[in-house]
Amino acid sequence: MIPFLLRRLVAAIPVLFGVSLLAFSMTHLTPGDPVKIMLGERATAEDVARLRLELGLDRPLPVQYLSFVSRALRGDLGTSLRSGQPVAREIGDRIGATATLTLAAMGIAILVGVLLGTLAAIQRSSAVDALIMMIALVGISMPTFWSGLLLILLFSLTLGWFPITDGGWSGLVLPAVTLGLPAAAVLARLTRSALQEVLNQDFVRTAHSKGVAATAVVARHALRNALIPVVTIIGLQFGNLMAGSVIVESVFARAGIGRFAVNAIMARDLPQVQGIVLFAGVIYVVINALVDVVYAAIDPRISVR
Amino acid sequence: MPTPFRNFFRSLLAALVFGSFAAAQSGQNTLTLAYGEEPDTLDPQRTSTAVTGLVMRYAGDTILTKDLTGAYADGLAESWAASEDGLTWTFRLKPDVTFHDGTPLDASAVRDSILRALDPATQSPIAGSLFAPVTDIEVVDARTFRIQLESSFAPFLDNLTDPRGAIVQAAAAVELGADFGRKPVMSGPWRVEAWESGERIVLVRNDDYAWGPSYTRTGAPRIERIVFRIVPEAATRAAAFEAGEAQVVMPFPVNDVPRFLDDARFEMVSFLRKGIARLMEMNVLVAPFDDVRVRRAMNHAIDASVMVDVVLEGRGVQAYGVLPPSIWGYWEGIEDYAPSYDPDAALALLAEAGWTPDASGTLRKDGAPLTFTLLSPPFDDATRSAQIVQQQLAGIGVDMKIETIEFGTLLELAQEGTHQANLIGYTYANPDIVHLWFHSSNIGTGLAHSHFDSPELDALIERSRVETDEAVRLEAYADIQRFVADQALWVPFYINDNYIATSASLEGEQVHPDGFLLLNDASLD
Amino acid sequence: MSAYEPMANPAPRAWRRLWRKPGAVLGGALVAAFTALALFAPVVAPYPPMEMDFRAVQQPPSLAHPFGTDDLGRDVFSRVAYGARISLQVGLIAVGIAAVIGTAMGLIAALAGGWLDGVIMRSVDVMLAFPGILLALAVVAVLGPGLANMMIAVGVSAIPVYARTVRGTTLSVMELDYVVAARSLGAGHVRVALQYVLPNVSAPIIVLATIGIATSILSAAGLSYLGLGAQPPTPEWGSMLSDARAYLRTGWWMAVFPGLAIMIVVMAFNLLGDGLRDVLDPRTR
Repeated sequence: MIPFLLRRLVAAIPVLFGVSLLAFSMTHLTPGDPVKIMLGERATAEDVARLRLELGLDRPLPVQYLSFVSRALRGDLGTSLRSGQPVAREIGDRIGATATLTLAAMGIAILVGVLLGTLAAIQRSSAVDALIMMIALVGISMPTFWSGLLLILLFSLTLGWFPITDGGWSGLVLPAVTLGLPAAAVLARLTRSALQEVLNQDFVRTAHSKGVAATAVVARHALRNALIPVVTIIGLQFGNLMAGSVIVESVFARAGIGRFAVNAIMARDLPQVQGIVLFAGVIYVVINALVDVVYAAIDPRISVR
Repeated sequence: MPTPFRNFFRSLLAALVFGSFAAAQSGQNTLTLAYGEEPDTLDPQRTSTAVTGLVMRYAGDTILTKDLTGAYADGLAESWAASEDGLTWTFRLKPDVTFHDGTPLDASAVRDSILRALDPATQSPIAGSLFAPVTDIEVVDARTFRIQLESSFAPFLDNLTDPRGAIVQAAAAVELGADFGRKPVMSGPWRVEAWESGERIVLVRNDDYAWGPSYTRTGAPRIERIVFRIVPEAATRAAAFEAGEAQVVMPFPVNDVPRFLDDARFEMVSFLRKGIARLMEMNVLVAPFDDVRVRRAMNHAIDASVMVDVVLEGRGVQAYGVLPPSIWGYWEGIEDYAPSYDPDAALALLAEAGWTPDASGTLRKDGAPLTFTLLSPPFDDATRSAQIVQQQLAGIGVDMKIETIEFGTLLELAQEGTHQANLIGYTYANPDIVHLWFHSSNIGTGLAHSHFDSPELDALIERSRVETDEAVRLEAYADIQRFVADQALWVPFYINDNYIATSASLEGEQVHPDGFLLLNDASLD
Repeated sequence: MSAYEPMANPAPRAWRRLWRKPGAVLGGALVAAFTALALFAPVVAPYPPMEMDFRAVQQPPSLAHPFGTDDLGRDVFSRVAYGARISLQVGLIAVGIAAVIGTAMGLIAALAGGWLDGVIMRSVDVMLAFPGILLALAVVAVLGPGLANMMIAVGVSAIPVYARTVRGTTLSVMELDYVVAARSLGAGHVRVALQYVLPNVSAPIIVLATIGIATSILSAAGLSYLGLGAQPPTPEWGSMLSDARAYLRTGWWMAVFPGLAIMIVVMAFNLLGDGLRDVLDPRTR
């Protein structure tokens, strides 16, 4: 196990390098002189020269990159152009909201998705199965801003069950459901097909014919095997959830990283964009590595390979 | 552990633990205002956003204010007088005024604040230009100061009432550095307690407040907390208001107005915006708008009354010139003077300029079609107006393309002067806005997106600033409005009715002519 | 060496089996209808999609306007019909970009092996490190908004999936007995790719592409909501849905019909894709 873990971590390093390189080059990829963009319209030639010197933009690129990385490792992600605040602090202020939303959405997705998928697989080729698959299909076919607004309309304004902008636990429900619905649908379909595959196998039929109760069969053998692709997808879905939070945060007025990223990109606040790109990339790599570890823990075949 | 990770865990913990208590905070005596934008900074001298100005109406004090009729009234200053030549203004402050940190707001504090606004190191986008003609501030005694102007400046008193000119505690600004922009030290009826990024700005009552303007409650206000809840999505704002989570929404989305008008739980107030909501600027440096005949033709070809009906749903009026009827200085004659909707006249002018229709109706000159790109900000009303204009111009054979870009980028491009035309709008309290739009000193650095450099227009504008006789000033502004209409630098579209929606539970609020809710006397039942 | 059996020529058998699956049939029929709508929009639409009738603003569905009119007096049905064209375009081009570039990357990585494989797959990992919409946002931020750039953005964000899948399939194909034999006899990379790999990899690509069209329509809608999508007055379903947000209570038809259109088309492609996957995936046979 340990050597696998180490190998996995080592494999992550070049990706982290790539991510940091991408984040660093954002300033230089966008058209126009980065310093002029940063200073805006009121910049004189002296201001431009001074800032260039201050930011170290006159040094060769590799040196700049190294200082960018070393500062990032110390937690300094630069200073926002618009607010003058350290980008690291701005990200820190908002990451909590996105994290709770993503975790809640993931929780709903796993609970609802795996449950429904299991139900559909057991009840195969029946009305229940068809109905669940229908709902799942709808779940992955609706743009999130639409489902979000419809949920507000139904559950907040008409029924009055949940608040719209007020925070707290009840204020988390609607955004988490909106965000988690597509993921739940994907997991439902995946769990169903993975379970079906396992349920079809001989050893299950044998156990069944020997009289072992259906639930025991499912619980002990089928689910464990079916979990493998599900866990992989959970890892992938995490990325989708973070992406989906961009829209859900706008609709439900939550101050998270998603909306922050969009505003930063639209306002061309390059230090903010850089910081977010670096941060998001690192988080994603870490999550992927973690998912692989869990994957390996479940499937004994993998660590042996 | 590096800062971002510490912040991550702290923020996660806070969200999990305190998230459940956040809802409980909207208690009895808290007024929640749902607003669409977030400030860039709460330092009034450093901000370029309008929302900071709004927050400063409650958290800050200006030297002078305007009362509910629009006349100049006391603010921090209880009395003021000008010298004969209008170049020296003496102000006497009210006694025992303090900042939120307890330090006295006396004449030298005012001086420090104004000097900070003028200091190039502050890089003040708006506050600096409010005080621009000030050459010297003299502290006469603890409560008296004298301001010296370099030349007669007619908008001076008006600028003193602008919330972005609110007096700041300059020493605290130096001490707190960037944090001053998160929690500024001001002197208003409420003070900034917290700014939760992206979520809300919380103002808490200043119990020591005793120097309010004479036309409203002078002491500490009744409402204990004001929360500016940042909700970017308009539909969500309206929904939150309907659900009672916010008691004030301003501006209120136009198409939701009819639903709420008859509802006894809500009150809707409207007033004509002080500014032109939507207009098209044309850049005289780039073809086809380098020809005044083409620009005038645009004015004849676009029917703005359609936009009032369709985009504003009738809630507003057509704009004819550069100033709206709601601002002093408006010349009523502009309604007849400006080029009216007349497609035939448009075609005639274009023909004069060399553009004639081909077989399919497209206007051409030397074989090339008449086409241009209109830059539009991403606001709903702007994109809808753009589409209407596109159709109207297509009707006479002009091909207009729409490009929606983020507002900040639009301003940058318009300053550069490589664009052809753009949509924009404004809100301002007095007619001196013409200086920002048309004076040649603002080409490339300010809002003079038409890039029209004319010593004649400059002279007219300068005259309007220097002249203190009201009647003469009115004439000067009328001249400016006529000049711009002759040169057809703009195609003005419309001025909307601004709606403020308030919950019936809010009582005692007053709608101030400058377009905000005066809350000193308000209470929640 | 492995005993993995490639499909010699799966086409005829697969088609027949496809028609026996009701979901796939439904999906296929809807996709065909959608394509027909896209191709024949000018014939089907009763009004030009951009034509504004200011006297008929925000009209509910009626005989004259079966889907009602929008806030600028344009016929919603005509706009939905023309929107099918745009969605089909976006889907095909985005998926095209992703499939071509992704397949090329996957093929080269698997066939070349060694450090080239490492470099290519690490870049794919880096691309995967950014959730689709952020990547699309970044592309649009650099290139600017507009339909064309949106197609590129959505396409670019989908490349990693194709690269990974193609690489995986190529690797397993290369282990087949007869392929190993062919290579030891001197068959070059190009020949191996064209003769052995592509026929086997076409199946997963088709499945990915079918579902990819659905995903790109949704991504386009998301980008339009954020203001980075098609420029007005283009009748793209996503931007129509987004523009109708403000009218959810007063003009429900402006949102419902484009929304239903998106949902039905996305469902159709998903159904079809599922059917294809069941039929073409050797494991479930």
